[in-house]
Amino acid sequence: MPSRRAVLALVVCLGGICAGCAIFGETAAVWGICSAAVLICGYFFDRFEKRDTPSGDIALTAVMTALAVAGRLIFAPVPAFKPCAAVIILAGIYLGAEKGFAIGALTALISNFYFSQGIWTPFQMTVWGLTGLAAGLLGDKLKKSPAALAFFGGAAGLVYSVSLDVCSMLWLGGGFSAERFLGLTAASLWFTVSYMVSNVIFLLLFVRPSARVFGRLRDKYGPGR
Amino acid sequence: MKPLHPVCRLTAVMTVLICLMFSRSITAVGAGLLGGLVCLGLLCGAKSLFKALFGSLAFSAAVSVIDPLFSHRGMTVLLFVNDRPYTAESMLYGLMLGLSLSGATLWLTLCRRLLTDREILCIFGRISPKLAMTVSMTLGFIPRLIEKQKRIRSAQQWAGLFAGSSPTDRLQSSAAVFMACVAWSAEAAAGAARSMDSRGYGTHSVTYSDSRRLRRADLVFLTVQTGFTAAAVIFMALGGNTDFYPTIVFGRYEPLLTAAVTALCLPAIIFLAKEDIQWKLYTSKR
Repeated sequence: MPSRRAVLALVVCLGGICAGCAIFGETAAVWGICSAAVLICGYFFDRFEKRDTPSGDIALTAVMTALAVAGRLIFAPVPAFKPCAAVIILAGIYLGAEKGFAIGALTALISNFYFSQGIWTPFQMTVWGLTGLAAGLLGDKLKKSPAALAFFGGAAGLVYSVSLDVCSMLWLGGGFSAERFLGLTAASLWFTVSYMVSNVIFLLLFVRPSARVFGRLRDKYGPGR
Repeated sequence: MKPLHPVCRLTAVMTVLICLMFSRSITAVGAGLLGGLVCLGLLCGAKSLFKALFGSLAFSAAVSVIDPLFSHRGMTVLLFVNDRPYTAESMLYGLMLGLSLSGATLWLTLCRRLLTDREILCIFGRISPKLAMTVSMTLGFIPRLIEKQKRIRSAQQWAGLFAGSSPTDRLQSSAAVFMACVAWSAEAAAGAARSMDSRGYGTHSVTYSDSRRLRRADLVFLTVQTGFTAAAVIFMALGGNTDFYPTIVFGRYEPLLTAAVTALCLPAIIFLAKEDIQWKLYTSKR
């Protein structure tokens, strides 16, 4: 049963979103998806905050986020070919869905401190967070089958690129236009393919060593799933 | 703006950002961008100002040229591209989008200049201490990881491993270094967790390293910024935005919306200008 405070918070948030949609008119779609992204991240961060998290889990979340961010920084000279989505997926698989979300969302937030923050940050946080969450939920199946893992990685790259295209299109205003969407998708096709291919390659390269590292960590210290 | 509380500095940026992101008034967006450029000039000097000005203008010009290729609305047809009209209204709409995006990016750059990582963590640490601690630890681990990666790569090269220069060899080499970093990170996390436990993590409530409180000047600043933001949102709702289609019509409340956005930028400009003048006056003349 949700508490009265939670219900009140939900009502206030929904009221704010509806009022914003009414006020902002043409930019209502941007306001709506911005609010949805902030709400999704806020919900999972609130759960992370309220849960009785042991120190090991916090340290592991921090270090995996650092690893994903460092991956993005190290591979910065190669556009769109980065291991961060692969690290987020592996973190989701081996550390659990909620930690996967936190690692994905924080990776987008912190890595954009080094690249550049923008209107895309909340969407990147949500998409990478949900990628980590989905990887955690499908963890057992993905661990058993490299083909399923490769398919998941490719799909994650595709969803990430298309989601950012949809956000860019809505930001341009004028609602959903098939012509504009196709134009944006065609312009970012090379990036989409790079995201998909890099995810598949890095996942297949990292999956076995990761299983060994996380297995050893669990046996030695206990944290992890 | 250093004498102001970090919350005030964050509010100064966020309020302008809201107007830039959600307003569709070409004059208000232009005022926001101009305010940001002045702040950048005062904060980082003329070189950064001209670099940002040139970047913003080039980006806005590019968007204004590209947008009519996808949007064919508007009455004033300039030419036909593939039998589709290329209109002046779409060009101006593209210009507004370009100014809005450049302005938002510029104010986010200013946010990084006005607030340090530690100050951002202090603000959010009070709302979400566990998350702030995770971010703080992550920021600490990143340079260590990059340094570790360099050392492992160097050690592997000196040991004669992954000497090939083909793309496959380089990828394998990078993957091997990265996995070594993963293994090191896992051990570092376990070490950090033991260190946290030995210092009593979870046994008492969280204390904050930043003890700054909001003073009267901070409260006045916050009230003024909130008031002008509310006014700007009301003017947007009443019809402060520019109507681009079918022909350009400026909104009834557009001058007031533009004035509200300018007023939102002014406190930051005044504070930064005052600091700049003080700095120049107090510099030794010898």
